[in-house]
Amino acid sequence: MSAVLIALAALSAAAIGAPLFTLLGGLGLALFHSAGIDGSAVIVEFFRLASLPALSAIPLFTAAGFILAESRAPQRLLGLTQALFGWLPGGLAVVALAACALFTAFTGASGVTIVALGGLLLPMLLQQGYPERFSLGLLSCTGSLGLLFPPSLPIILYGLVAQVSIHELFLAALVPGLLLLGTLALYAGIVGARAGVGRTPFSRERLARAVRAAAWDIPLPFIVVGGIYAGFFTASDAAAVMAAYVLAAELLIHRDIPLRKLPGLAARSMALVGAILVVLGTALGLTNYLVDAQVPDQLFALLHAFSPSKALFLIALNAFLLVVNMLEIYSAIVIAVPIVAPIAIQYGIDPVHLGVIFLLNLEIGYMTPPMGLNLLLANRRFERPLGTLYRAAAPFWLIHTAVLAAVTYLPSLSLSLSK
Amino acid sequence: MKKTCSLIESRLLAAERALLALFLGLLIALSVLQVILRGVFSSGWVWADLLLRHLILLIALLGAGTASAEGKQFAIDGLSRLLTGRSKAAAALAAQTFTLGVCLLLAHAALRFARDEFAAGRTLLSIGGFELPQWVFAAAVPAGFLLLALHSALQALCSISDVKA
Repeated sequence: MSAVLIALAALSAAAIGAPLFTLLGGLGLALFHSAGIDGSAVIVEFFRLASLPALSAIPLFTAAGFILAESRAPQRLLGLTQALFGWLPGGLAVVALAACALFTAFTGASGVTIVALGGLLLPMLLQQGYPERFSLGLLSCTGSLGLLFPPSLPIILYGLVAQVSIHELFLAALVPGLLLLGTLALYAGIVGARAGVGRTPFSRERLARAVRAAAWDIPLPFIVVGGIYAGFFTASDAAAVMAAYVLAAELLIHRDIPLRKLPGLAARSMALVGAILVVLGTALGLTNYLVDAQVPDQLFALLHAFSPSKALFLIALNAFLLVVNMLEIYSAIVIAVPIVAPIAIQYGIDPVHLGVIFLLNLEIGYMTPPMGLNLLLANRRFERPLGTLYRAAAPFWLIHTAVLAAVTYLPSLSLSLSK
Repeated sequence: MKKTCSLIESRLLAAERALLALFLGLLIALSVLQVILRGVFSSGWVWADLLLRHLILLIALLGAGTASAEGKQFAIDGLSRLLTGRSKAAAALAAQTFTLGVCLLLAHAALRFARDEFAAGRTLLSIGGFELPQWVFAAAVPAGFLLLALHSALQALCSISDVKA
């Protein structure tokens, strides 16, 4: 009875917009109380935030990403990728894909890509003769492309919550990420050729100009991504290096951001970090209760009686994650992983493989109607009705889903590099 | 009353933001220093690592405070999107009151946690002869939840005038 009341109270508080951390914290307090345990157990777990390994990667990458997004690095990146790939069939679309993937990986997939790059790319695509619907769909889906590449914040958060090696996750996500990028590039090339889009001839001078302009930005991905893949840096080391590098390059060398704007920018980025970490901290308490009460085991028993097959479980997991992502990616990871991961392991799914499935699924959630964040952002940024965007995103959604199916049912795609 | 509440809220926000910028600067400086020490000299300071981790706890709580003030906390928020005018203000007031209540309960639980830590008297880190006890950071948790409670109380007071209007 009291459990029903607690659940009802939590649901109604959620519906009127109470912050997620109050729901998790309140539920944790109520459940521990009903089990006769003092509520400070919730806080003991919250305090455990300070002992999570690699935690510093979250504030450091977020701060660096905010600075990058505020600088003129996106424009320089576009110039460079266009000089490199613009001559390919469907070149500009490939440019858009590559630039957005890189930018999203470095800024943490919080939707800034659509805002920062989408506005620049849409007029360029239309001017070159790409169909409007294709261009809108492309840009709406690229807002989360890059989630699978280092130093993507959601991967780090998954590693923290699931207690899986972040290094292995980055390795495991590489092939699926490239597969997705390659499939999308192929599609873009076909659409570009059909629409008779003009190509920009390759120009050595142009490339040289773009390289000179971006000379200080170019080493960053090599240092950070290369350092992580080579095992030279841990995620938190890479984050520290990136923060220092970005500060030096964008503030002192390029001077894109005046120094007086820096404290405000720092505070703004830490608001996001605070919002993520209170959810994570309060979820640790709730999770601790759920694991103690063997809720994942009971759920597994229930599910297993219903469907003993791993394949069916994976289909259900895919569908479940699409719905969960209506929340928002960080909360979705923090809340769903501790419950889903132990169940999946009992089904015999590798936790690293599960991580890749999770992240790709969440990426698709970003562009799933009606509430996918990228669609809402594109609606605001491009001032097009949601209905148009739903239709525009559909082919990209299908490609993503096909890649998800491949990644889900062919574990070797993820595990060949990491194991 | 709404004016006073917004004024207090904006002052509080400015103070939190200044502290956040300071702590983030410290975090970046210490982390980079550690990477250099480890990479170049194959050594590092144990205290710096511990300080870093607990600094993030302070950043989390202060950052959550600013997220509350700026309406950037993660929420599911299904129903209130559909509401307008007074009913929207009433829903906001209910959500803020709920938040206030939970934050006070969390602060109360955190206070007991901090008291236990104080009684245990553990040392978190020592730099030279200086010893920093763990309860200092444990005490930041109730303070942080009180801060979040304060934000929601101020917002609830603002909403009361919205509901009346």
